[in-house]
Formats: sequence, C-alpha cells, structure tokens
Amino acid sequence: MLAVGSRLLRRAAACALFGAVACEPAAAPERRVPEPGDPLRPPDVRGPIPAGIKLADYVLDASLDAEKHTVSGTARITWRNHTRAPVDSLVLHLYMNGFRAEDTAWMAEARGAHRGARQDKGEGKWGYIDVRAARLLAHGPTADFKAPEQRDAAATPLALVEGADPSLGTLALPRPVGPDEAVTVELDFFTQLPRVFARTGYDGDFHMVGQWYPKLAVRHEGGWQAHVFTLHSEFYADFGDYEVHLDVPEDMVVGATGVLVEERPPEGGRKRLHYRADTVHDFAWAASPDFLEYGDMWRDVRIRQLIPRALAADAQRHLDAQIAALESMDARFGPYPWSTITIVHPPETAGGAQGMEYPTLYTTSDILRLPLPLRLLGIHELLTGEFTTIHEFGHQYFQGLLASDEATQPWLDEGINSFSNTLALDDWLGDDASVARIGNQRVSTVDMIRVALPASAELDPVDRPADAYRDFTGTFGGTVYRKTAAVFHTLRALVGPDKFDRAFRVYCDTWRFRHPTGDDLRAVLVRELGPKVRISETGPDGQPVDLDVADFLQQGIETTAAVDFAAARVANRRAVGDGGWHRGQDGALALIEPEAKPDGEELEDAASEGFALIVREGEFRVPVELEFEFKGGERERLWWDGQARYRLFTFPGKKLTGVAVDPDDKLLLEGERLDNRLRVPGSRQRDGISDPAARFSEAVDLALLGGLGL
Amino acid sequence: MKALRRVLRVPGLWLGLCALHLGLAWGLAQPVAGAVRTAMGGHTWTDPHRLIAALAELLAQSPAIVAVFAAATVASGLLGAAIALLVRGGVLLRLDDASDRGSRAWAEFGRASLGNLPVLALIGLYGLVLRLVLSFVANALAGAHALVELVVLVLLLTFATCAGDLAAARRVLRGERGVHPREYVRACVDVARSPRLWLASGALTLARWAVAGAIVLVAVHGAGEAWASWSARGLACVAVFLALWRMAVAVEASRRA
Ligand SMILES: [Zn+2]
Repeated sequence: MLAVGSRLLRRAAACALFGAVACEPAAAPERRVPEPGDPLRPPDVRGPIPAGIKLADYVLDASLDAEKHTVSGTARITWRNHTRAPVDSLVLHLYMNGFRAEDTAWMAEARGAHRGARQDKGEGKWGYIDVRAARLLAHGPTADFKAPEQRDAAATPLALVEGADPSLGTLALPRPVGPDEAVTVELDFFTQLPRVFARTGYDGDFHMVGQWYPKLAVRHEGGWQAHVFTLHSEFYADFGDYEVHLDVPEDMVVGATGVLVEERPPEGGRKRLHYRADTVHDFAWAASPDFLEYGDMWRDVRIRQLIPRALAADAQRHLDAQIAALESMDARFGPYPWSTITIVHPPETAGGAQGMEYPTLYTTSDILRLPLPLRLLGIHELLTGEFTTIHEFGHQYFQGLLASDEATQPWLDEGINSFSNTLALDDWLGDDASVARIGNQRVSTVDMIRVALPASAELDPVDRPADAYRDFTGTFGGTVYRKTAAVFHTLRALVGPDKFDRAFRVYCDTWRFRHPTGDDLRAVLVRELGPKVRISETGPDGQPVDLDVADFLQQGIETTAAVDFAAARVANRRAVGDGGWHRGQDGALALIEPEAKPDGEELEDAASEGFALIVREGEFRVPVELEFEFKGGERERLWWDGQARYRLFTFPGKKLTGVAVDPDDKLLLEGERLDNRLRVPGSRQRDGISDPAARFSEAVDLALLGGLGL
Repeated sequence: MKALRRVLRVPGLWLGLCALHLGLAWGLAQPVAGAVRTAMGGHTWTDPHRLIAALAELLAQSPAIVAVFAAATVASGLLGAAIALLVRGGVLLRLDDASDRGSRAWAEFGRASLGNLPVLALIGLYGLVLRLVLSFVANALAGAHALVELVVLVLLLTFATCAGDLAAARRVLRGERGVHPREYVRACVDVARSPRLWLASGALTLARWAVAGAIVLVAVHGAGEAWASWSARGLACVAVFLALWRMAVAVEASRRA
C-alpha cells in the first residue's frame, strides 16, 4: 500500500492558476492481451515452489449487486493443520467489519479518514460482512469440493462467533483437527461494501472488492496469529489455491487475482466468470463498466490494465513502469512466479482505492495532470503515477511472495518494498534516478527517502507492530517505509552493492512462498555478509575498520538512534616546532629561538598543521568515510569507525582547506547533511546555497517589480 | 509609432528607472543571502542541481529564512507599486516633452511627481474600484468556464490600466483636476470609444506581464545560475521599457482628446 496522498496533489494542481487550461491528452486505444491458461508461469521460468505450503484453499461463489453494492455468496475453505498440536477452532478475519461502526478498532484509530481520503457522510458509508450460516463439510481426508455446486447434505451446522472487535470471528469445530489433518467448512456470507475511502468499496459503478470474504488467520505453533484489523495493519494469510466464481452484471469489466478460466454466455443481464489462482494468499477483484483494457506481455507474463476512459492516456506510462519493475525485480529478487499481473486504475472519484496490492492485482494512482504554466516551469514527476505502479508491483514480492506478517512487522513489506522500489527505479532510469524535476533542479530517489527521515523517524523504531503506530504521530510512513529503506540502502552502500545483492537474493530465494520474520532476514544477512564486514584496511590509526552487521541492523531496526555526523571545525595552526631548550648530545641544555612566524592561515605549509574535528551528533554508531582537502587541491580519504563521540584529525606539515563527511553519500540514513562539509574560516569558497537563493530571490523580486510597477 | 519615439527620446529616464529596479531587487535579495549564509555557518553544499533537498533541510532548521524571503517578495511588490505612483507625474511630463531642460530637469521631474501625487493616488484608487467591478463582470460574463473568465478578465484589466494612464496624463499634462470621478469615467468612455488606443495599451500591458512571467521561468530553469540572473535583469529592463511605452501611448492619446 502506498502512503503518498496523490489526491492532495491533484487537488492542489486543480486549484492552481489556469486550472482549466490543463490539456486533456488524447485517449489511448484499447489493447487486449489473451488470457493465460495457467495461473502460474511455465515451470522452467517461474522458479521453485516448495511442496506442502498450500494450507488454505478457497472456493468462493459470489454475486455482485451493483445497485446495492453488496456481494453475497459462499466461501468453502479447506484448511490443513501443519502444526504439531490439534486445533479445535478456526479463527477467521472479517476485515470488512472494520468499517462497520465508529467503535471498531479500525475506525476508532482512523476517525473516518485514511491517507487523506475521508469516509463520506450520508448513506452507504458503512461496510460489513455478515456470516449467516456455517457448515462443516469434511473432516479428515480432503474431499474434492472444488465445484461450488457440490453440496453435502450431511454437513454439520457450525456457529461463527464474532470477537470483541468484529473484524475477527471464531468457528468452533465439533472435534479437533489433528496434525496433518484437513478440514473443509462452508460459510454463507453477505458483504456490504462501503463507499470507498480506504482500499475497498464502491464509488458509483466502480467496485473495488478487497478483503470481502471470511478469510482464515494463520496458525502458528501455539496459537492462531490473528490480528484485529486496525488502521495501519494490513494482512497475513497462508498460501493456497483459489477457485472463484463471480456472478456480475453483464456490462461489468472485471479484473481479478489469477486468470479467467471460463466465462459463461450472459443470461438475464448477468454473466458468470470463473477465476483460478494458484499459490496465493488472497483474492481481490474490481468491476466497472467504464474500464478500458490496455495490456502487453512481458516475456510470458500477461500485463492487463483496467483504466477508466478519462485516464486512458496514461496507460502507456504505467505500462512502461510495470515492465521496468518486472525486469528489475525478476532479476534481483527471483523469478516472478505467476503468469499474470492486473493493474486497476480506480476512477478519480475513488482515490481511496488507489495504491493497494493484492496477489497478482493491484491498484495504482493517477498521474498528476499539470496545468500549462506549471509545465512551462519544467515540472516533471514520476511520483504520482509511475512510482505507485512500481511500488504496488513490488508488493508482489514483498509480501505477495515473501509473505511476512504485515500486522506484526509492517517494515518487512512496506519498508523492504520501498527499498526495492529505489533499486527498480535506478535500474530503469540510471543510478540515483530523478523522480521529480523542477526547472534545473531534481529530486532523486534517495532525496525522497532522506528528507522524510529527520521529521518522522525519531519517535518509533522500525520494528514495531502496525497497531503500535498512532495516527497522531504521523510517523508510520517515514519510519516503516522510508527509514527501513534507508537502513538497507546504507547497509548496501557500506558493504558494497554486489555483496549485498547476493546476500539479499539468498533471503528472497530462501523465503519465497513462506512467512519470513525480521529475524529471518537479519539472520540471512549476517550469515551471508559475515558478522563483520571489512570496510577499510587502514583507519585513522592504521587499524582496519569493520562494520558489525548485526549491531548495525539492531541499531537501525530496533532503536530510534539517528545517524548524524558533523564537520564541527576545520582550521590550521602552527605545527609543533623545535624552539626552546633541549639537551644536546653533550647533555647540556641549548636554546633554539625560532623565527617569529605568522600565525593561522598565513603560515607556510610545512610549518602548519591542519586539524579537523568530526563529531558524531547522532546516537547511531556506524563507520563513516571522511575526505580531507588540502591546499593545492590534494585530497585524502579515510574511514573512521564512528564509535566514539568525536574524533580530532591532525595533519602536521599540511594545510587543510576543507573536510567532507561521507563524501559519496553512502549513509542514506543520515537525514541531516548540511553540516557534513566545512571549509576553513576565511575561505573564499561559496557555501553553495546562499548565492543561488539570492539569485532566485532577486529574479522573483524583479518579476514583481516589473509586473506590478509603473 | 509616435509613442515609441517619445520613449526613445528619453533614454536617461528608461536607464534611470532600470537602475532603480535592478538596485532594489538586488538589495532585497541580500537579506535572503545573508540569512542563508548565517544558517549555513561555514558549511557548504556541493550539488547545484539538488538544492531542493538542501533547502528542505535548511528551511526545516531555519524557518526564519522563509520569512526573510517572503518579506523581500512582498516588499518588492509593494515597492513596485509605490515607485509606479511616485514617479508617474514626472514620467508623464518627460514623455510629453523631452526637450533638454538642463539643471531644471530634476526639479521639474520632482515637482510633477510630488505635486500630482495625491490626485494620481486618487486616480489609482478609482482604478482599483474599477478593477474590482470588472472582475465581477468577468465572472458573470464567463459563467462557469475558468478559461473564458480569465481571458475576459485580462481584457478588462488592460482596459482599466489604459483608462488610468489616460486620466493621469490629462491631469498632469492637460490641466484636468482629475479629482472628480466624472473625469475618470470620461477617460473610461474615451478608451471604450477608441479600440485602437485600448488595443495598443493592452498589448503593451500583456507584453509586460509576459516578460514578468518569463523572468519567473528563467529563474526556475536557471535556478542559481549566473546566466539566469543576467537574463532576469535584462528582461526586467525590457519590462520597464514596455511600461514607459504604454504610458507614452496615453500621453499621445491625451493630446488628441
Ligand atoms: Zn505499499
């Protein structure tokens, strides 16, 4: 999911001068790509799928009432107990109940708002799911209940009991499910979609149907890992196969997880669609009569975009971003296993549905349409459209494939995904890619992360459960998304990109189609990188400088310590000379009276000693590279282990002109960098900002004097 | 082209006003530079094309810089309007009669400027009222379409500028008292009756606004670079020239009616 409020940006642009002059680009034609037959890519390219990981299979049979915005149907769930203990009840997520009333855990924290979108007042704003009946179909050896028409007259009725928060429910079983046993239950459910403001719901004819059916929690040894649905918590489920039958109005264009395997001819104004998804942990779908299709193939993966007519001109830009993301991530993080990816563009009025990921389907956000005067300023940005597309596709890996628990450790999906997005953008557009330009200025991928750090990353550590972040603090995005990304970018830069990428790939290969935890990721990195990584053979005292990987990750993930170094002082003083009384070889004291020499900067090089004071202002201890510049332009670099609070560097016989801390910007975790470069006092070197600021200010003043004057 | 000749006959006036504008803008920018320099405290930033990130950090640490910049911007707008009013009388006089007055020139310029100041301020006030009324008219005429409203508004605002110039020229050069709203209304009627006058003055007003817009474009596309500064200064001089030309159009018209 993406925490950038493009609606706000759009509104700001709409208010800008000449709002109406914004050109409407010509709509792109439709482009349909044939439906793949198999929901998975061919075995030779899809990468390994471990055996025995499918623990929750679903057969969903549902009907959409597009007038009332309801979905009713049955969910037939087969669950296998992979734990060592018998289990006497099933716990189900009833996510839609988060929107049922003001006092649900979700609504109480959100207070009717989500990422800038507000829950509408008036009718149709609440959503809920009501499980109206439950039955036990089979217990023990799994019977084949793949076709929804199959009925078992002998089914035992069950009762679903809602929890204290209605987003969870418990289904007691007549007898426990033993280890390696399976159980099949069937639930009749009725889902009222809310007017969309937070991921799922409807807006007019548009229906984004996510978290809409009763969904099993994950059973760990010792208990169900079932989280109450809260504002920042997302989802967690076991892998399984989905057979989904949807009955929808005939004019609806539908996009869904998996592939369409059958479409029955329309009858009575309705059509019936059969979707199949293989080894996924959720199923979502979108329907609207206004969707155009614009797709393409990436190798053997079908890309299908569903885009409202009004936004169709942006289809190619999103497609380019999608292909770039597939190129980058398939190579970096292992083969993308599924044969399809569907990109849904919610209409402009349904901004709350934008930027959300589901298996093999995600919603993206609209490209900001700039009015002409702003375009003349040379504004170009990838943040409102392409970036969202790359981000949401990245979730196919983190956590579609590496299915971490988003409620317990949201940084493993949002944070690691944000890290991967920067790599994908750089793979696509070149190193340190620009994501926005204004005139001759640019904002790079790392700038975007860095500027968010000082304001948001000091209250909460990265490794916190989603519900521990309070909406009031506004730290969720900065900490979970951007600080996590900064931790891993910094580690990558310190140990070397190749070495890091190899280790990270081991994590991806080891944990695909599984449920990795933060400890699993850290363990792989420490093992693959080694506990200590040699950063430099020669530190300030000639000793090597090492990075303690576990310590770095502990500081970065578990603490709020900030990386912050400052070049506090740099100057030159008189070097220690040989003046005064010394004993000669004969043992007698002899006086050497040095010549009176000028002091400070007037000293000649040989008689002076450059010194620089580097202070570690942040609590985060990490090696840092320093670059000293001497008179005549000579430069010298060395690494400091950054453990002490400060360190004084002296250079007898050399005159310093300046010092730079972290000259290659390796420490992305360092949010405050303006104090990293310092020149000697009296230097004629410009500070690099005051002149441009003055020039800009002068020009604006001239425009106003010229425009308003006379 | 008679109006253009009037401007070309007084290059000193143009250059003087240019110097005034350039000096003021430069002067107003110095506190901004000073505030940034102080905040930087001897530290340096090396990437001239990533100033947005640098400024994000700098302004978060020293929000006062924003205030200094805003103050300079507001001051330049106010000063621009004040200078326009202050020198209007003298400028009209010089545009009307460019003959060499030797040492008396400054005294006459001052007398024409200061002596007419209260009435020209009043005419300016009438102009503000007219602009307000016209913006409502534009809104009503255009209905809901923002683009149509904008075009109508621009046309009507150039009308107000032209009428104001004509009323001021009649006061300073032709002995009208200029105090009674009736005289201002008469200037408006004359402009409305003379589309060529409105067209010439309006075109020059639009050209000046375009030049002001071009200065902003140059400032953004060449943020911090020397070429942008010099281009902005050059364009500002063009803007001053266009303003003088527009006033000369009114001077010429005041001779006819
Ligand atoms: Zn996300």
